[in-house]
Amino acid sequence: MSLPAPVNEYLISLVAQRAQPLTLCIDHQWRLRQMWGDSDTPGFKPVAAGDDVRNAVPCLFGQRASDKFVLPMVELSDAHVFHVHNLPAGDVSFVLLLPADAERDSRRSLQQKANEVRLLNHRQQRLVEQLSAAKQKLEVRERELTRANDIKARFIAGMSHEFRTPLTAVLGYAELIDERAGDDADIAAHSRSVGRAARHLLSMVDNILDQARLEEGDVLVNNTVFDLRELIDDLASIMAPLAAARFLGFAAFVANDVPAKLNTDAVRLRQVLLNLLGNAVKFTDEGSVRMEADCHENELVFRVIDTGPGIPEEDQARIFEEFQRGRDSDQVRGVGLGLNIASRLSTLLGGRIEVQSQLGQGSEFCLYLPADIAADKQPEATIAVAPAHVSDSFEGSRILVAEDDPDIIDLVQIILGRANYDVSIAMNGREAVERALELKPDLVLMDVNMPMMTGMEAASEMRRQGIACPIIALSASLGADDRDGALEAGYDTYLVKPIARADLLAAIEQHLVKAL
Amino acid sequence: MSTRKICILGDFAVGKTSTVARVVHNVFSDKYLTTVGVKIDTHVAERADGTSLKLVIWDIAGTDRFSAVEFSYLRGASGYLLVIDGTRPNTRDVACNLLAEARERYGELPFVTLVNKNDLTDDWQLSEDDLEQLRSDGHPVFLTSARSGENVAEALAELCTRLS
Repeated sequence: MSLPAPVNEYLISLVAQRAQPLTLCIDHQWRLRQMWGDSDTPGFKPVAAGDDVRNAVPCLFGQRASDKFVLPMVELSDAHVFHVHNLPAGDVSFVLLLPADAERDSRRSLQQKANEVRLLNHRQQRLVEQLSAAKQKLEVRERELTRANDIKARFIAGMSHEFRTPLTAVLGYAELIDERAGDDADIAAHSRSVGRAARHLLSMVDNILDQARLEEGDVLVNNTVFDLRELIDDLASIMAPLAAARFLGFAAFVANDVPAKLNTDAVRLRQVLLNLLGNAVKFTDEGSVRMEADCHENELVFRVIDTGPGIPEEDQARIFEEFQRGRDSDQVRGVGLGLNIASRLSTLLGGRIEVQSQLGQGSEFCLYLPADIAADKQPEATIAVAPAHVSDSFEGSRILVAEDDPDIIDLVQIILGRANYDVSIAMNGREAVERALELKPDLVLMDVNMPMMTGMEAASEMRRQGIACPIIALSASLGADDRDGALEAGYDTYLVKPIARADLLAAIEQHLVKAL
Repeated sequence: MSTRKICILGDFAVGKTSTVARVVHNVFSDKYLTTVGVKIDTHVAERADGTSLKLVIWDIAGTDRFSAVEFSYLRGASGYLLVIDGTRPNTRDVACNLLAEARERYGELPFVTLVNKNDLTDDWQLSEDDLEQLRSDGHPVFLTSARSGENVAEALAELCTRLS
């Protein structure tokens, strides 16, 4: 577009005024000849005629004065910015310095925001990567923990299983030795010591297994309706002799307002109360242990009160933690799991345990349970009290015992032989099936884990072959899966080693009665 | 005293301006302020042979590739300081691309490579293999921190040694 000459000249003049260029005329060795404009322009160091202008405008270093060039947006000293133009004209050049601070500020503002957004994006991406990596690590760790827990659970279950069979033998033979001790007080005392030690070992194994199951959340509450007073009587019959052995008094009281029947897990309630009572007897050196059951403001309260040494206040919360024991408990055996298990079981039952104690004045452990577990229903049938001797009518009944542990075979043979049963033996599942078909026994007492053919396979095969007599499992495994699997395979009931002689005989007789 | 123009090249926010500030003023600021165009500073360096060398340092705004304007800034340079951010691996590729573009336009010139932000150990992402790859590609590598000044003077001294 061509403009009229006056307009053109006017515009050129206007742009020149607005740009306020500092113009330096130089020779081709960068020496200043002449200067136009304000030498005090911010960012420009004054220079005298004949001086090298590159000292004032260092961006000219490396350039040729005879070349035409433009260096846009050059920041010189004091943070001032110029567009630098070099216009050669014969043996001189004109260097134009056009101030550009405002333009730089405007561009910087935009560029700064753009760069910061890019940096934020990078950091965000990095954080996502780190989170993803952390998540992967956690997943790996979780898998490792799950695997470690599985191994732990298997180890504990295996340990429990492996301990139960020899403990069955130890407890059983200790009982037999005690019976045969006659007037020899030393032998009687020694056999009872063996029995006590074995029972303690068994309780520790049980506690460790319970603890592992509670950790796994593997303990289910199995509510049944039962008679509370029968349970208290049962506990009293267990604890009174133990207290007497330590020269302690023992008493159990049930208040009249306590409901006759409860609908809760009787096995777990019994376990909790046995633990509290057992501790009270263990830790009390003189005086007495008392249990009271009461119903108060919609709560059932079971109090276990002893005249023992008491528990320091600072220990009273700690004793409910796993593997923690009171400070003065060194003289009493244990690993510090019992109260933790009791506390957690009481929570599963919907209740809690509290302790009140003062040093030198005994302790009172209270189990609180919600009163709504009281039931109006009739108690379920309870297992018959174990008879000391088998009824005469079953004498001579043929019992096939299938077991692979020779010590257990001998023990069971002695127990059943003394009860006048006719006992036959099989050492594995396959032999058990063959012997059962051959002998047509009145009852089979069979282990579950056996070589050649497992008890479950043998039971299943016996049922398939028409063996209809009761089959009782005597197993060292406590697992619910084993129990369910055995019952499904054809066993009629599932007993866990070690079992008291009276309970074994009672179970056998009960099933012989049923089979009539 | 002879004078040399050197250019400092690299992606945005890798620490070019902070490196120059450490060289020229021995200061560091955490505040990030983007460079627009080019910033000129001068610095007198002592060479290993005892002579002094005046450096005109062109701190060119970070970019991932050169436009005509940036190429005009490179003209007359005697060497480069190539800067990589050790916490952002892609800035290594950007630096290598810029070096290749500069070589294509102006031929081979001495350079040293500063892998900067070596103080940010938690965020560091360049592996020893990455650094070894740079070295095997002919980069004189310096792990630097403009914040602490670690290796900055050493990198500059190496470039001065390499300048003709």
